[in-house]
Amino acid sequence: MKGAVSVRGVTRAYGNVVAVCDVSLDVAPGEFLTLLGPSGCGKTTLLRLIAGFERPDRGTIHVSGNDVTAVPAHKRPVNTVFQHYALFPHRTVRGNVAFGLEIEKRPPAEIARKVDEALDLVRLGGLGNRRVTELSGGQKQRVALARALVLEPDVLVLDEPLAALDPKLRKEVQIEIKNLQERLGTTFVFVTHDQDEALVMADRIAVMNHGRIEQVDGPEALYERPRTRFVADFLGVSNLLEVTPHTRDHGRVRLRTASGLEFDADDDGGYELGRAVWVGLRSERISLVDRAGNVLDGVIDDEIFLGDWTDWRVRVGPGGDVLSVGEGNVLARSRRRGEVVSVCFPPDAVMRLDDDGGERPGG
Amino acid sequence: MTARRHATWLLVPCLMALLLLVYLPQVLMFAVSLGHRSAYGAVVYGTSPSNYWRAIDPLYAWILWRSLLLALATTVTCLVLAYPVAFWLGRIIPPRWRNALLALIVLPFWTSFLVRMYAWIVLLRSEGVVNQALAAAGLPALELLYNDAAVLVGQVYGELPFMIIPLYVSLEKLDGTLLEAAADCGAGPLRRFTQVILPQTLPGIVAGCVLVFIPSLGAYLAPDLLGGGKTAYVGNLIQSQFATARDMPFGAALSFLLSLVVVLLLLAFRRPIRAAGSL
Amino acid sequence: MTTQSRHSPWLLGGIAVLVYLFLYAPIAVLTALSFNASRLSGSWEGFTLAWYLKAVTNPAVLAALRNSLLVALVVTVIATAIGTAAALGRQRGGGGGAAEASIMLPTVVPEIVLAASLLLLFASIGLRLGFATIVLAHVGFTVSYAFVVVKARIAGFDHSLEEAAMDLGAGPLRTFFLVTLPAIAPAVLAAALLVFALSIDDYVVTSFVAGVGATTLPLQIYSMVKSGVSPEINAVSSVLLAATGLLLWGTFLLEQGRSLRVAAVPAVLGLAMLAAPFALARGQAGRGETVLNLYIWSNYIAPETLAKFEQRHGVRVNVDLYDSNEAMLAKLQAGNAGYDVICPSDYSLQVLIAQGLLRPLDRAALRHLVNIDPLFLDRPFDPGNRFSMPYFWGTTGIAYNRRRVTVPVESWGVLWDPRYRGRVLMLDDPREAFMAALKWKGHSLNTTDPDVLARARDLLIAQKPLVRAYNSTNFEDVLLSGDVWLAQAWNGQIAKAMDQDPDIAYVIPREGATLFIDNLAIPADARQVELAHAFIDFTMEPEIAAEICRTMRYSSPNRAALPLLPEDLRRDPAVFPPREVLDRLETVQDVGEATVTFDRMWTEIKTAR
Repeated sequence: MKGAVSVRGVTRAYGNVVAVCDVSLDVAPGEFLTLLGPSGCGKTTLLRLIAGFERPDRGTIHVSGNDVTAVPAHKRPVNTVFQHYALFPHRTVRGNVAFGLEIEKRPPAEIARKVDEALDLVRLGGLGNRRVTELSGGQKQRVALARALVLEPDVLVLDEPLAALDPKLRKEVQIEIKNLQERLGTTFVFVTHDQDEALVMADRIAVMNHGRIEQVDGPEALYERPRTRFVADFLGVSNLLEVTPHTRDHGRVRLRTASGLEFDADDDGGYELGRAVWVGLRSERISLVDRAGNVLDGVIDDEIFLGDWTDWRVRVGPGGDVLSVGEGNVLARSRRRGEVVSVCFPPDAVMRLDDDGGERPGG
Repeated sequence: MTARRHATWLLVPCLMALLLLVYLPQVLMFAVSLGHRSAYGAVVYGTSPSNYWRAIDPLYAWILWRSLLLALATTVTCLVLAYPVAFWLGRIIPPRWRNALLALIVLPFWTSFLVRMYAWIVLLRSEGVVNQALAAAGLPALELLYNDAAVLVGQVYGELPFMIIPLYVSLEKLDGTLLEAAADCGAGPLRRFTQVILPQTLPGIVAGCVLVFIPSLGAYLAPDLLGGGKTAYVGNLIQSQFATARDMPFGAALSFLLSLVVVLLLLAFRRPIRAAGSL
Repeated sequence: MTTQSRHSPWLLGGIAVLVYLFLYAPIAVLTALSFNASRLSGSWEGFTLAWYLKAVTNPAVLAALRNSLLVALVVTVIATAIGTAAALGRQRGGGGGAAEASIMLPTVVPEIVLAASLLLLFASIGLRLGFATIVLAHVGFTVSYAFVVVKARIAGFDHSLEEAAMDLGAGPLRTFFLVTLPAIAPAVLAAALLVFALSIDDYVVTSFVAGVGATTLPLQIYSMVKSGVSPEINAVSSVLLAATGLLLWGTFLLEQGRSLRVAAVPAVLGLAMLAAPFALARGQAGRGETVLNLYIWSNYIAPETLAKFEQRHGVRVNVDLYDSNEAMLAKLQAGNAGYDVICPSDYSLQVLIAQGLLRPLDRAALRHLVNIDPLFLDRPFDPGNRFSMPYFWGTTGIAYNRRRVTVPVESWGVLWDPRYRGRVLMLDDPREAFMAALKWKGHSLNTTDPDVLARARDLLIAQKPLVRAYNSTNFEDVLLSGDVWLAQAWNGQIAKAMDQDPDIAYVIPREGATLFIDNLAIPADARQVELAHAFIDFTMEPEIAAEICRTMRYSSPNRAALPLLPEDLRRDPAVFPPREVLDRLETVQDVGEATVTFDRMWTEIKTAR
């Protein structure tokens, strides 16, 4: 039970704005859970609710099996790594890391030992006596981490801690943090708006939108089977089409867009004939070369070169729907705008999405 | 929301202190102003506004008028002197010297007004430094003390820093590229000044004027020490009601009127003042 | 974004330099003169530290400095704490625009308004004027400044630091002391230094609410300034300026974000300057030491005389000064002034008796009463001398410079002579000024006839262009310095001036003049009643009365003292005019309701062009 987080029916509003709306979430002990979503989706608020800086208007929060809803932040077994590190400027590195231990009134020898261990853990040993104002961004981030971990919390929450780092450093640190978590076995709740970051680090990802959790799943499941249009869009599904199923046949459903484009999808039992629904189609599952499954005639509309792959915009169907087709440049062939091509994708590549994914009623 | 409520509690001691020491006394002032003076100078409470009629009586209205004029003269003089200095500080001096030079201007202001007025007496007396210098140059001595001019000099001297600071702030913030754009469109230096600099620094000008005008309305020490007892302004009038004439109700009425004028001015100009509040 | 301007830097720079000179010239002159061995500002007679020594060993100055420091210390702690709390609260989103505006308002309101309202507050709740009232008053007007300074500096304060501390287990209180306070320390210190400087420097508010024995340095300087331009004042002023300047420099450095260590240097220096003489000052009355609070005219008793009394009785005498009856009356009428012995003039004695503010004297305790000349006893303002004993008497006449004024000076009319335009001084006293006009035209100075008074007022208004100044404190200095050639004056100070400059003469005009009798009396609420009686009796001893007369040059009513005076003093007509002149004199009586008319007319005169 230690390290488990259980959020039940939690709502938090600021005036007319509902930041977190009836959210329920379970985090298993030792799990690395990422809260993912665009700015304003409520992920930071949810994090602060777990850490204890905010109190929910409704609902309960349990940490390690105990109800902490009414418990203030300084009494929860939860520690935080802040987005801008929040290092105490008047203390040295050691001074910062030792802060919590001093509050707990541990004996000086023990404090010194633990601080050394924590600094080694984040690979900052030897910088103990530096003033925090002299550190680089990456170093400050490690100090923040050490300061939080030295208290051996049940849960560590991290609020977009890598946002201020440059991309290359970011990737290195992502892996380090992941490894650290695996070694320590502490529950990590990590907030980010970067989809790639979430996919790399998390055991499970909770995608949030407008104060609600839209889907909680492991990275592969989320990637392969996004449940809502929002999640699909956020995780980079570039083709989102509103279709109406109009015939069913041998485990396949024929779908038709408003502008007349038709193709087949696997019938998973969720399609209702005549009822409009959104589907997603990853661009890398569409080929300009193969001839199996759905084959559509199209015309090259645009070419976007992206380094190791190219995003072809192809006009298909009678109504001119544009599909985004991803082609690895190993296979690339130069094509010209206006060139006639064949677009092909298998029926099982079509992902049915649950809702219209637009504005949610009720805020 | 609770954090906010906790934060409001922190303001309570301050607000209570001011309520008791500044605002409540004003209410009291009003109550006393409705009374009258007993034969021997004690306060007899009442409900008559006669003191206010007396205050608007031509004699005293004349004094209020004079005080307004002094405040106006002080403000204008300060503005004329301060603008070039603020400009020089804000746009010509390299940034690293600015703070130190600014501090030099502000420093005298916060030290004893009394002492600085006294210093002017030493300078302006018939045998003071200025006249000694004139005599040495063979020029006739001037009557520089114990008149309205001396009071103006003293008042300007005391209030000048309060005009320089807001002007400096708004001049320093002025975007230089606006001037370049104006020059680019063909505007010469004078045009650039009147069409770009002046309008852009208007908030600073207004703030400085208000911050100088209001305290000058209640000028007391400058007229007292430099005016030779011959000049009458509201500040001295109020003081004499409390000290010499022992007519506290009348003094209270005058004082309350002055506060009223101050509050009205502050309300009327609250936006430019708030803008200059970024000091 | 600022760019260097292409405007002519030389013209602007020139003006700027002139303004800087303007700002610092008076201060520079003041400081320079404080080192001048000569008393006069005209000539430089060599560098000396004598004035500083004199100032630092002046007991009145030291006492005032001590009071100022104590008050400033207490006020700083209170105002800074309250102001900081409010700034923190506001920065966290508490209160609102209205709360903030009402906190900041007092910084712009004219001081006179704050001062008057505070006096009214204390008077109406019967709070005795003294230390407490000064402290309260100072807190009232400084807390806004503390708020402004702290708020400005903590604007960018990072709340996540406090959240981090709480996150790590620190409760709200520990968070404040371990994290918040260190982070805002420079702002708090800057505010503290500012409050300290403001409190040390304040004159206007303090002058209204100070009580017995609570004279602060600015009040002391003011009374010294009003008593004359002496280099000693220059020395005290320079020290005050330098000390507060250093404190403020420290504030400035802290606000600029410099480290505490750097800012501490000037701040500590400033404090040291103020504290150094403190070490030499006499302590406040200890629990065992008794204090007699004397409230008396400036230039009325010498420190040596007081010292004799102190030694004889083993007590301390605390002296507060005033320069007008009205000021003294106002203090006493406000109640709870705390004095044991006061020195009212004739007509103000009337007022005090009528209001029951005086204690009847115990004759048995006044053995030396017999020494007083009966001429000065049993006067209408205190029949039977139930409440007072004469201390000094004197006359109001015309003092003039013989070299400048070549016509015979015999009548009050000479003060209206257009030849002396701008060279006349009148006492800043409505009754005395009117006396000159009334006597000139043959009326009693106590008349309440409105027409007569109106005509006198018109005369005084017509006189205004001739008057250089109205001054009741150091008129002899103004005469000596040559600023005026004719002065309406009280005889005692003129007698001293005549010693300094033989060209000064004093005459009582033929139409008559004021005879004033200043008396010692005991307020009804005095605490040291027995000691007060002892003091009054002490001044009536022949040797003491003679010493008082000799040092202060006012006229003594003590018959037994006369033989002990030096010959030239006894024969000095300015100090002891002959009998026939005395007969022409009138004492001032209170005019009751007509005081309002007087005041109104006096205002009309003061405001006339």
